[in-house]
Amino acid sequence: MRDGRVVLVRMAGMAMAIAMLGTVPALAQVPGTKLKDGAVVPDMSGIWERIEGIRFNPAGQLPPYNAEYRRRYDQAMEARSRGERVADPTSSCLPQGMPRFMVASYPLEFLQTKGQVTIIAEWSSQVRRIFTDGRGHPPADEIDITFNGHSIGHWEGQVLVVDTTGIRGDTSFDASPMTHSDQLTVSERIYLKDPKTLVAELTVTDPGAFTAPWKVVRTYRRGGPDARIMEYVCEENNREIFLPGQNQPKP
Amino acid sequence: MNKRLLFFLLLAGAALPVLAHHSFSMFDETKEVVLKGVVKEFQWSNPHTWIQLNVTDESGKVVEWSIENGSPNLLGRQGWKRNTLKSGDQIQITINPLRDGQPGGSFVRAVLSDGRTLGRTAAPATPPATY
Repeated sequence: MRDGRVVLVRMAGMAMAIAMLGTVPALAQVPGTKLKDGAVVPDMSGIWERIEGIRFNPAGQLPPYNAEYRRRYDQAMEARSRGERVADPTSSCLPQGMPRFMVASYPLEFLQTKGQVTIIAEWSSQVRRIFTDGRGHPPADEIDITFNGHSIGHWEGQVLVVDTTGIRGDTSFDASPMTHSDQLTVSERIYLKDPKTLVAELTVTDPGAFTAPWKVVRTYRRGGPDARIMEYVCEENNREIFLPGQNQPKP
Repeated sequence: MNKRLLFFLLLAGAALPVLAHHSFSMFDETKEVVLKGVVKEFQWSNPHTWIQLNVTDESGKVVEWSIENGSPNLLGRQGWKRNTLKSGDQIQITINPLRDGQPGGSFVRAVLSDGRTLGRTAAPATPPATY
């Protein structure tokens, strides 16, 4: 009798768990899946090549810097114009991190699987995992501070909406000396403009360095039949490890 | 600088390097130097490929130059292969030299012994000075 009650309680618990599972939003991310709102998950899987150059903002403008970060940028540009090397973290093979990841120096590969959209960057074989299983970010005081941050996403119609936090303060935008603070977060709207054109609208927010959010739009063309992701191991033969005063390649 | 090695210092206009990996402020992009030599080694590697070029100066001394070029990922998509250059190849290479005078520079273009030319074709990686 007692055992029977335990079984009943367990069965009730399982039923509740199953019912709760049904409320997890848009778990299935495989292209073609019909979402609750009737939208069909678009097929972004495959290889994408940047259309613009490797400056983070193809439109060219600087971020809306506050006075302190504008001063830092101007100082670095002055040093560069004097011929000094200005540290770019990637010179010592550190990852590009977010948001530079989305510059796609080399092509990106999108994978859409259940509960996750994965973006692989050829540059240093970096990976972004965008969790679309309904989870939130870890608490702000617990989240790991990483190069690519912690990304969660959901579909709004045909648009993949992504929010990324937990980004290190020393990631880069591009090879220029633009910097940011450790308060930087990125929100993205990623969608297909047509089957061969992917758009990422990035809104970069940084209360420590910017006076307003910075919106940057980047576009990518679908790789052709010969497109492939190549290996790229930056540490293989890097003669450019940046150290102040060390100014030439080793013979 | 010696004459036998065909050093030409030219004002080179806006020839910016192709490489996404680092700042190129260590190279003098306003100057071009033409080297004639023998390929010691072609390093088909990341983050950059390197041509180690033995250049004999007028006193007969061999100086090894280190010439930096784009990654295999970049050059491979422009038609280069890991055997495009081989040890022993006679080659003429134009570089933007290192500012500090060391025997090195960044690749601009080359003429192979059979007359084929190799050039820089990609968009510049280094942001313009007005950035």
